[in-house]
Amino acid sequence: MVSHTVELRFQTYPSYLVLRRRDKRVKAFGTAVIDTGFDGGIYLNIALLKFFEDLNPIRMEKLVSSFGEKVDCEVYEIEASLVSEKDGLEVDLKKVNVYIPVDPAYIEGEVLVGREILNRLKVVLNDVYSELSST
Amino acid sequence: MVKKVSLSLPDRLFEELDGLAKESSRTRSSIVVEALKAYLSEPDIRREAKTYPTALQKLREQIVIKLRSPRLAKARIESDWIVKSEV
Repeated sequence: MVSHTVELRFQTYPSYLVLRRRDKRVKAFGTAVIDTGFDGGIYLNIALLKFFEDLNPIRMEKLVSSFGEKVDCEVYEIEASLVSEKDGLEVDLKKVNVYIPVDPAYIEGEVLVGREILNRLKVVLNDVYSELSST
Repeated sequence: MVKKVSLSLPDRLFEELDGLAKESSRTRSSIVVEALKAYLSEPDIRREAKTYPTALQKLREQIVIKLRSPRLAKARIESDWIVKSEV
């Protein structure tokens, strides 16, 4: 049931996220912000756009921004995992949906991890660390 | 070598073309040729998104960003994100 247990500084610090492209044998890793208000899986920042170059989106979807605007997004599927900052343990998220707005004006500076992913995890919050495990 | 073609233009566009030709003392043909050359020299702008992500293509057309290639191992991109080859 639970394959890995990792501790992430969940509330006050961003988490380490790894994205993998098997076709090009490359991975991207960096910090992402856990966003419980985001419906999707991963919301991309501008720095990672090129990582998705030449991939075809699996579908189009409309997200609603915090200002109530409908934002057209291309949805890409990619393998991802969350990594413990403390000991490097990795929670394999397998395939996740990545949302990239068609209009660059809606791209933000941070990578967001939303509920599509968080709902797959068992999350235990405490004062300093949060415990995440795959279910 | 010059080929002759006949064009169908909406009235308003024709009036604008005619006005511009008179104003600049040029022929209508020379203005159309110049406009067509300008259009054909910018293929990226008139092309619809055929490569993805669309946002990346749009940013490139606007020459807003230059991103480093994610194919380069250990190439640091932005926002502390690093791309590395997996062997």
